[in-house]
Amino acid sequence: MAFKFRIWGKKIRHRQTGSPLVKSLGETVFFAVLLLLGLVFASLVALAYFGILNENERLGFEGGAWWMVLSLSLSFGIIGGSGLVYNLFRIGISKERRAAVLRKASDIDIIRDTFSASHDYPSLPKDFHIANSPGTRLAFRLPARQSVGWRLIFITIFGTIWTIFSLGMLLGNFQEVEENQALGWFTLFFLAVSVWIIYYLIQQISYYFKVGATHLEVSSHPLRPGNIYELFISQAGRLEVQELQVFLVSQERCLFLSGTNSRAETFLTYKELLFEQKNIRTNSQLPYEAQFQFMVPTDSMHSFQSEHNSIDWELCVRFQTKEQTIHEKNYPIVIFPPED
Amino acid sequence: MDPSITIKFRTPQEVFHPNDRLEVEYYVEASDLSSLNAMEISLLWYTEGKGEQDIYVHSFERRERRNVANRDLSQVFLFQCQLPKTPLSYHGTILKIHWCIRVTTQFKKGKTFYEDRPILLLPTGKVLKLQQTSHL
Repeated sequence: MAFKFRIWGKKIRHRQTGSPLVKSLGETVFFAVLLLLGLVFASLVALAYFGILNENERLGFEGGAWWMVLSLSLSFGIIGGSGLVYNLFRIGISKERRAAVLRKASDIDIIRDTFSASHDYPSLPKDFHIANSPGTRLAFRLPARQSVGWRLIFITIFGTIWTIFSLGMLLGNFQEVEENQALGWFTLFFLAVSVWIIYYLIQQISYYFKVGATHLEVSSHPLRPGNIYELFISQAGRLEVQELQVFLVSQERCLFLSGTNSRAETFLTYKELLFEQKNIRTNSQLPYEAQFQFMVPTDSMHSFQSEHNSIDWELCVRFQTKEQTIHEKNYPIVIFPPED
Repeated sequence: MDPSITIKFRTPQEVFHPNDRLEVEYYVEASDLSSLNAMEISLLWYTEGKGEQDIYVHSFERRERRNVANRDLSQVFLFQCQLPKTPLSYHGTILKIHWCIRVTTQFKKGKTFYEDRPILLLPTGKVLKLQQTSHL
């Protein structure tokens, strides 16, 4: 099909109408103009600041807001300059050639983990977090997707900074609060948020100690379709659990742009109940422990990871306490393709 | 008139296994071959589905007019490479992974044409007929 010239291209899913050359040239001109504007304004500010320009030529750049104009000019210059270099690199170079250059660059990554099993399998997620984590009962301990410890540390740091800031505000403006009602409400709002953060932190700490840690260990790694593996589960804390279940789950996950927003979508492709136990009681001295076997389904797709798309496999531990609260913890695993 | 790009496997197969050797002959026919500047061949995979498209080039060769014997880009070229172990071809619900051999021709004035020859990378081969697709 012959190419028809049109000034304005439109995007239909992944295809783009209009000339890619015109598009590239348009972007290049845009970034070049931005760079030029940045350089011109930055030069004018510098000349006005050092008194080289006479009064008529200064255009108000020597005033108190010179630093604002300078920072705007510099950001124009940086955005324009980087955009220009990026576009010049792209002009006349096919998408495949750029992808090949990027692949070569990633191949010489000196910090790449050469000891992980996924090293020989392009597009498999990195597995060093499993391979470098020995277990106590079985060979490997699986790390959880969300670490409660890190969340607690983050909340504690954030809460401390916020509270210090709020107290500083209260003490610093104590005299003026009575006269300035708006300032009073503002300070009160900051204090209320501080109180809420402290309450939430206490709630999270008590939850952490009550529910306790869940450990999963697996007998072998890498995991491959059709093979049978041992799995060990340990649940600590002070709990009365009505039902504990372990699932093997696979999901397709993708990221896409919707207007200017980036959105994610998942689709559950596989879910199998591997283990179930009812009426469990744990205490701080005696965690609940169990060991069982599971098989990675034959003909299942291996784990996959690219920039916007992935096929994720995970073990999901779900338990329901006597108070009808449901807790879920996910442990990502990497499924390799069948052995050659 | 658009150029005609031909991609031929040396052994008639479209289903490959990890670590298999791939050998392909390719050539281009066009009314005005003198304006053909360069040809590129890549073995690549790309994703299709709800997410943004990802593309990964496993193997790539570029032939420019000035670097080819007699400056003749109309001859039959050979492309060889070894297939990787992953990712395997996949047809999911919101995600698909396709492998293909793509030949791209670059003409003067920035005109570009490409031709895809899909292949399947599977652990156990199933013989499937695949269509050759053409794009501008």
